Amino acid sequence: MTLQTEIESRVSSGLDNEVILSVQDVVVQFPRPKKKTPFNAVNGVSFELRKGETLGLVGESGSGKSMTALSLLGLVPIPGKIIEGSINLRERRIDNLPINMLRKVRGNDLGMVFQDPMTGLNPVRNIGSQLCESVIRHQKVSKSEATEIAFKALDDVGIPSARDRLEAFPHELSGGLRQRVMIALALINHPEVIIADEATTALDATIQAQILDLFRERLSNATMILITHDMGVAAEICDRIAVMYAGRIVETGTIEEVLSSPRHPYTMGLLSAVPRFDIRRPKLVPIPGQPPTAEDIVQGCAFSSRCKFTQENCAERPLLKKRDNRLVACWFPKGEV
Amino acid sequence: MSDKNLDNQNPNPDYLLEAQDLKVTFRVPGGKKLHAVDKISLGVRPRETVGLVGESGSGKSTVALTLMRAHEPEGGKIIFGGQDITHLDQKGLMPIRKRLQIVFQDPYSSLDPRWSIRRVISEPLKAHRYGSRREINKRVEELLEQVGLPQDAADRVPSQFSGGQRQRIAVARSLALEPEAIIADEPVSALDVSIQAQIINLLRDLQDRLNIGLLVIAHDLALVHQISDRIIVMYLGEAVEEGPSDDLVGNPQHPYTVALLSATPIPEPGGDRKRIVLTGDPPSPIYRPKGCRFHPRCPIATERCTIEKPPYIEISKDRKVACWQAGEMDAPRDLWALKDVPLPEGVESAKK
Amino acid sequence: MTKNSSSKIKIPSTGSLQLDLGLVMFFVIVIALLVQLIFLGEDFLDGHLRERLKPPGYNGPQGGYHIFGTDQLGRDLFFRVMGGLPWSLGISGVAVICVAVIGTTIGLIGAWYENWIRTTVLLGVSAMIAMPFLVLALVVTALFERGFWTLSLTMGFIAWTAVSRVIYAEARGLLTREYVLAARLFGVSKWSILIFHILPGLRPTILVMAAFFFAVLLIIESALSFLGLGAPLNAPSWGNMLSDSRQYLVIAPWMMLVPAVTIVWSVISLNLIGDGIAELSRKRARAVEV
Repeated sequence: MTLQTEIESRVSSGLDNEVILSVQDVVVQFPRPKKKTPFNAVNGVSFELRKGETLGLVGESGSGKSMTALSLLGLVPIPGKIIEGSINLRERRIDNLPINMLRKVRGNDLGMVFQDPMTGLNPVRNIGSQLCESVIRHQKVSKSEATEIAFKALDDVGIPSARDRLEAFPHELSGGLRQRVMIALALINHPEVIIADEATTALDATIQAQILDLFRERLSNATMILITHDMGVAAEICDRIAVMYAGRIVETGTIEEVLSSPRHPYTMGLLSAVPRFDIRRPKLVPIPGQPPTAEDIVQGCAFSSRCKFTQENCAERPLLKKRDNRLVACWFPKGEV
Repeated sequence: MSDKNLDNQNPNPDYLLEAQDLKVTFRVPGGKKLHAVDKISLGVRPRETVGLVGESGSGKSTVALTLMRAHEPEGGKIIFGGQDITHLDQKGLMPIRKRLQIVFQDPYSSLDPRWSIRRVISEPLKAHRYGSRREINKRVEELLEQVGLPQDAADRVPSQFSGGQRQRIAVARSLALEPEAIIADEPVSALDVSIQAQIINLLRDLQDRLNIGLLVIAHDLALVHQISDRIIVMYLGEAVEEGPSDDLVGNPQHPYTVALLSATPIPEPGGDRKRIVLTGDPPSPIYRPKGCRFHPRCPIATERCTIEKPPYIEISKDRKVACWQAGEMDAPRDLWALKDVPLPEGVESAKK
Repeated sequence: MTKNSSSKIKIPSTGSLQLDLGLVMFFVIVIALLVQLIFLGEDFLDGHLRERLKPPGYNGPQGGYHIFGTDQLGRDLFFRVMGGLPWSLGISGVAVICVAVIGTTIGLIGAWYENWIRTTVLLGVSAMIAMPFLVLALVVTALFERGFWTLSLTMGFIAWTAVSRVIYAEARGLLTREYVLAARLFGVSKWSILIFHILPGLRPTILVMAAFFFAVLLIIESALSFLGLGAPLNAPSWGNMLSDSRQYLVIAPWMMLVPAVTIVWSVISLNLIGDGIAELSRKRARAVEV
């Protein structure tokens, strides 16, 4: 057992549960127009997902969190591609599957919920037919059985008068209901892993709360990856989080530990920058500078230019190392020398 | 009689920018009316930050644009610096435009992609004949420094800047004419978290230094609480609650405020927060519910709420609420108890 | 090694292969036009009846060497095609300027006003589009003397409708941009907004439309002349040349090929320019988004 897997298993909430999804050193590369060197949107990401746990991939725009999710689904947009690493679903490698096999994996084994439900739903077909189509493609059932399954799925995600909604078109539903339909669609074939990419970002606060509630109620035992930019959302439903910066995981541990005692300066910075209801109104402490873009490729620690603890060592890239029950990629976690 | 009374309302001398019973409707296809803003009254004192909070469709952005006279109000008054500006024509508005400025949500679409930053920032200066080219250039340099951008930014175009930097440019432009008040419509919601804090702190610093009245419009109650002295909560075009920030958040009276507070995700470990999850979606501003607009989603609605609209009344100094059941729902979090709770490690604390 | 790299000539490029190619092709046309206007004039347009219907490359005792051959009156086709340049390019050039100016103005007026003016403009444009173009051209040529200005202005005043539709839609999109709203709320006058925000935003669209319409009008001009509604009968317009070639198609196909290839060359170059500008502005827009 390597050090990493050892810690992963200790850190993980489902302590001894089997590993469902294992991602090893995945690199997603994009060529850069007019530049010789390519850009690694995901730059050596590894993690394991155990049965029944919810892992949050948290980061800002450009951190590579969404690209990581897309690489799991084999949906990395052209001209990008996975050039290194492996993704295993149980014993089976899924990062190099041909497209027809991949289609089977999506839906059957991996369910996905996107930020904008309109991209996941066909606007000119009613909800029922889209749900049924997915059921019939992945399960051996008759049309009427499929309709029954579709109804149950909608009812399950708390859609009122679900039977009538089968006839509805996506644009006839509110944003919150559409997102529920997307979740129903993701769950309908009982996938092993659910991947939710900014599933609540586009919604209003009270509707977001409804969806988060749904996640908590219906999916508390599901094996799930939640991609979000919002630490607050991650705090609500994740068991474990991995904070990403510039294509790499910089800190990962249980949600309680990371939120109450962040170790990586970036995590600390993110938490200090979020407004929280507090009578003391702790002054928001922004992270200076800008997040790196595809334009600037940094040697060494990618965060060093924005970090207040930067020292000479930071010119060399720190690896994820065990530290206080979690993994941190920093030479001076918490600013300690 | 009562209408006459409203018309004779005098401007509150305390306020720099004031709206009295502002009403804005839009016609929608089918001859129906969309009630975007329904009799909102609010005021911003000089050097004060007022937060206007609501979800999409609550009419908060319409309030901003109507105050700027981009929409024509159907009723009510807009008063700026003691002057009624509700019906001023474009020429009459010019001196007001100089004193009242706006910052938009999306720094990608609020700057002309073909213009240099110098040109962007000097646009309001030129419109108001600020001075010679040299004076304008000097002012642009000053402004760039004020918002923390390098001098060489002036000759680049917006696409060379990140979202946060662009919002700094937009702020610099709104400061150009030394306004007395700025309306900021969702100034940070398009930005990353770490950058949001930069812009919020910038707005706060500038306000302290330049004595500006600030009306911040946002959907994020935590963020508004962070920067505002007073908060007004909107639902379906109407104000439902208003009060000093800490008091409103720590002691909310309207069930909608309570729900918003409970719905805002905060990165705190331990999910033992009391939670109120509202059912259903906000109703359409075209077909509004009778009685209290909030009653179909309200967890504590009574029969009275379905029939009779609650008045917007002052319950204590500076606190107003429109609810028959005001104060019946407990706050999801005891803000005042937080004083003794340690902040997470590494999170800095500084009194406002 | 060093020799090799230093001897490399850097070819200037616009960043779009189509635009480069189109501009080179158009440059050839412009050079030819200048040569025609400065050196050739109308001196070489007369024919020698003894050398009628001679094939390309014919060297006659009277007319000299005919690189493209001659027509039914013994006129040299090379000089005739050159002589047609000012006619064909001029007529469609003037027409395209009319189209761009009228189309942009009407489109902008429709987009700017939100009241009855918009309704009137939109109705008017629809009515114009509904009018049969050829019939109108017939009426005009019947009423006025056929000639350069009649033809170019007629085409210009009829063909702007499509441009105004596109400009209208595009300008309405630009007018909803927040930077336009911001300018208004800062007290910038509407003329400043139109001239400094909206028109520069429309520039790529106008250029693309102009290039395409130049090509379209070139074809229409040829078609009208071919039908006998265009340039005066003896004028060396390309449409007239095509029209003349009809009867001799079998015995003298070069009479048809020479003007046809010229028209195709011009139209392709203009279309490439249009496509190239569109491609560049798309690229630029994408760069702005990212």
